Amino acid sequence: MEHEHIDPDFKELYDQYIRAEKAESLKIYEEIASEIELPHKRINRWWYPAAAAILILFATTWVITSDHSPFRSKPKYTEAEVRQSLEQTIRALSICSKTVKEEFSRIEDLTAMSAAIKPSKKGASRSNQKQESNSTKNYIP
Amino acid sequence: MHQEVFLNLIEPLKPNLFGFAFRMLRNREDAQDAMQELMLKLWNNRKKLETTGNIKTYAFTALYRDCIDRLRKRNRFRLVTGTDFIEVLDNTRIDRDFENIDLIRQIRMAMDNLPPKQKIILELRDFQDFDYDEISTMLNMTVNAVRVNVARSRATISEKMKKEISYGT
Repeated sequence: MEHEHIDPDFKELYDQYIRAEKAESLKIYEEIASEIELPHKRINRWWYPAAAAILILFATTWVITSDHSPFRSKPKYTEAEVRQSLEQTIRALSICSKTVKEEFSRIEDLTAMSAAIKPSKKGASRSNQKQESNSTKNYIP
Repeated sequence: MHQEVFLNLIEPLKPNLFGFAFRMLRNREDAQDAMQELMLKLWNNRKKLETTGNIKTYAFTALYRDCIDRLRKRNRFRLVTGTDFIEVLDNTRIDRDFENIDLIRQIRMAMDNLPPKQKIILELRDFQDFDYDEISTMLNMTVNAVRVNVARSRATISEKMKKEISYGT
């Protein structure tokens, strides 16, 4: 090492000092070298709360929305049960409507029959006219 | 800059950078912290480094600034609390195989007593082999001022050592 402006008597000692200092710092460096984290592997401290917040958000969303979540109350009926029940209802309703249709057609038949069996309406109209004339007779102005 | 390229550039500089921080701060944990901060800073500025080119100059400039900040904080802390972060000069770590071990310890004390700016300049010149131009750019000084500071600090240490030796004999 070139040392300009240096007392020649002091130079040798100074060189020894530099060597000693370098050797010492190198020894300490070798002891701590593994503790100096490589920057590209280092996770910044602010990442920890941020990551925790994101995880909590995801967990909460999952608990609220997922079908597999153990915290979510299960529906009373399964989809198959609801479908079966609806099918039964439809079947029952269609049976009902068939019965109602049959009843209506029977009523129509009966009405037609009774109309055919009834005597003619002449007699009835004559008695009505009689009643009407009686009522006009009793009228005193 | 790709991760591998970055590591290839930084890895060889790490022992020297640590040595610089350790000698400036004289505290292992502080030097380690400064190194950690520096690594992060370099990684975050890796795109800038591609265009800047001289990664060594950039790294030492960033590190010396960080060290100065730490020393200022430490001085404030010392003023407030009356305690000191500086470790007791750990002379036992200097290899005993060195001749003149006591004189080497004396030089270290003289070096540590230099004003921070002079200490940095001497460190960059004598320990890290930067030339005067580079140091002047890094510290934002004229080349002449760097030369003067180098000569002055060496003379200060040399004078002190002469006194020590003359007292010793």
